[in-house]
Amino acid sequence: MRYAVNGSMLIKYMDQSVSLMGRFIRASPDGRSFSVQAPDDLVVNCTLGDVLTEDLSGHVMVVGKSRGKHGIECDEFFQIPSEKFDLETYNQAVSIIDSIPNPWR
Amino acid sequence: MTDIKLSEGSLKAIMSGEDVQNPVMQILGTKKIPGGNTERYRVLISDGVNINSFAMLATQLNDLIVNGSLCEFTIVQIKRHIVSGVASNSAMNRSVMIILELDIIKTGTEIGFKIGNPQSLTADSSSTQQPAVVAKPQTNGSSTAAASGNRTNGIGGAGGSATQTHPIVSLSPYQNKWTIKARVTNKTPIREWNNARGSGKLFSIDLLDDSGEIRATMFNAECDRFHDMIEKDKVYFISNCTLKPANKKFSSINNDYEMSFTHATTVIPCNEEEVGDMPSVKYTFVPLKSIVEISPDENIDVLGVCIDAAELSSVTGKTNQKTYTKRDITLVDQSQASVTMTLWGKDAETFDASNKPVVAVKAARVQEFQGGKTLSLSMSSVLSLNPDIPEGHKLQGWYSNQSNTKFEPVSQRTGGGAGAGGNMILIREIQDQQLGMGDKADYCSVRGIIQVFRGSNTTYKACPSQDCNKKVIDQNNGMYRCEKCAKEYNTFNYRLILPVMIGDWTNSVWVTLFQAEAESILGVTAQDVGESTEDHPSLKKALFSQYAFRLRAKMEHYNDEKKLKITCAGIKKIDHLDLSKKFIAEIKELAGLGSAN
Repeated sequence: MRYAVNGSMLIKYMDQSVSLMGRFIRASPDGRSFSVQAPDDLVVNCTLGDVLTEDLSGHVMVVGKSRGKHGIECDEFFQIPSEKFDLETYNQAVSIIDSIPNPWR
Repeated sequence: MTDIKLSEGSLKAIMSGEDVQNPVMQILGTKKIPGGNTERYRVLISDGVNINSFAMLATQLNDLIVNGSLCEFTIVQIKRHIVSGVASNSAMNRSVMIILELDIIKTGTEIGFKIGNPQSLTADSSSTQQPAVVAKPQTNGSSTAAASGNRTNGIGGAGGSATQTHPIVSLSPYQNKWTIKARVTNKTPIREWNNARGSGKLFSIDLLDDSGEIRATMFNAECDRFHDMIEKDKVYFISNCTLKPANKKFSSINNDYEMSFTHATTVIPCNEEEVGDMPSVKYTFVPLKSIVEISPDENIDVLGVCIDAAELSSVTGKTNQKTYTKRDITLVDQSQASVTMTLWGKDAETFDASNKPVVAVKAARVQEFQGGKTLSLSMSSVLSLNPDIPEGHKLQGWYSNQSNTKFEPVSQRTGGGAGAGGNMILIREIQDQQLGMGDKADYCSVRGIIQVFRGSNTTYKACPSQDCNKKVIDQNNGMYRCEKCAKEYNTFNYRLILPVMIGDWTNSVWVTLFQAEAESILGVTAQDVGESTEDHPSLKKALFSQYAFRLRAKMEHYNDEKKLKITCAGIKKIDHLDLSKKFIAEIKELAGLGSAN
């Protein structure tokens, strides 16, 4: 079980599993982290266990533990092959799901 | 304990007609009043000495209950209220206190208990009821409650130009002492009716003030009395009418109630200096593009530039043999859509489109014809050319800067317009809305997944001549006969006729897909399918794919058996982004989240 989040929701889900969709910005020089632009335009830092070896670009989905304002401790990340993804709409969807305690009820 | 003091004894004073300023009271409970078109809440209210259960909340305060801020034990200060007589089914008439405005002083959760030991006020209230509020039980069972004001009041109100006026939105059947100051925005000619229950005549006017609008109707005696007196666009003081829930079928006015003039009604013309800044006709314009989503028979206000007008023509009425003249005109606006609107009678005869006028219409009726939406003027519509309103000038300016804009026609008769923009319904709703049950075919759009194909016989042998497509009969001698063309051919075309079951999460239906639509989901030509000896593999491949289907539903009769036949009139790939946006908008509307996020 993990929560789909945007940048500002990371604090709410501190220390919990989250997944965040965003646009890749850049990797750190040492390759131990990279930054993405979250659906709500906040820049989120993703720290990695291993050194980043792939070339990332475009849309990336990051799965890991929320460390609040320190970003996400990344377990996995996925390069989304398509450029066709509307982050703004996705952000609204995430916000709506977050505003409803149990969307399935 | 709490340090807040309730205004003890104020309830009794209020209910016996005295004026109490800003009393502080405690809410002991709320209850929704069942029935009726609008939500109303009844509150149990206490001043520490008495309880009154005949208190009601004005509808504009409903959200206080909905959001829970007016829970049990809440202490409020009542800023504005009225006391009114209401006819009840029992013999006893009661006074009802209607709370119009209040401030919450302390929430119920903070208080948590009932203050004092209040006694029910209702027992003695009937004796102290103010005699001025006399309410007669209505014989008309359909109206919830209506108090016909008493006569002396009516005459007293005749000097009413000096009295304070009420906003139109505050009118309800639960109060009877009011005077409104309103502009007549529309006045119908006198109409006569003749039916099994008798005959008579009536006319109606639409009234408007800054707060809202309401329809008023005058019958028989009142019709004679007021028709010559009331003039369109003038402002009047009006008091003492009965109110009843509006019949939306006959009225486009944005009000849950409408009024009827009675013999006690007073109408006083408002002199110039008193008019003030009374608004004139109030429009809520709908962008032409969104007419697609409006269901037929609704009335909307539109504003558009008339770019084209057809010749005057005439039609003969279905029910009577009257001839009506009509003219179709085409309007466009900034939403880059065009719509066809039908004008009738005098409007049609005098209409001149040569200088491309801006046309504003109050309450044009939306109609649906073969999948396209058109507008038509009805009895209650008001047409004005080049109106002097800011929106009109803006539109004029915008239009003069357009050269080659392409307008999307919303009135086109299609089946093809199956976009996600159209009004999507659930498959279950085909049944619920009884689509196709009427005399005419109904169109709708659904989003469905292809669930089952009825395998064999998906093609037929069709006449090869252009635009015929009728089935040919195999003469078994290499020749094929078309009955329609009465010719024999040595060849034929395969055409698809593909029954598929499409479903969503609510239901599934059998739908027949023809040539173009079937080819588009199979991705192969009808010839390919026809020539393959077994089920074409493309059938299997197309299973469980999702599309937006434009459907046409019509009841058909086969040997005395009725069967709802649904055919596909168009097919479109689903635009997921568009759909998501639509869902988000719907969720926000339903949840009342607004545009904030």
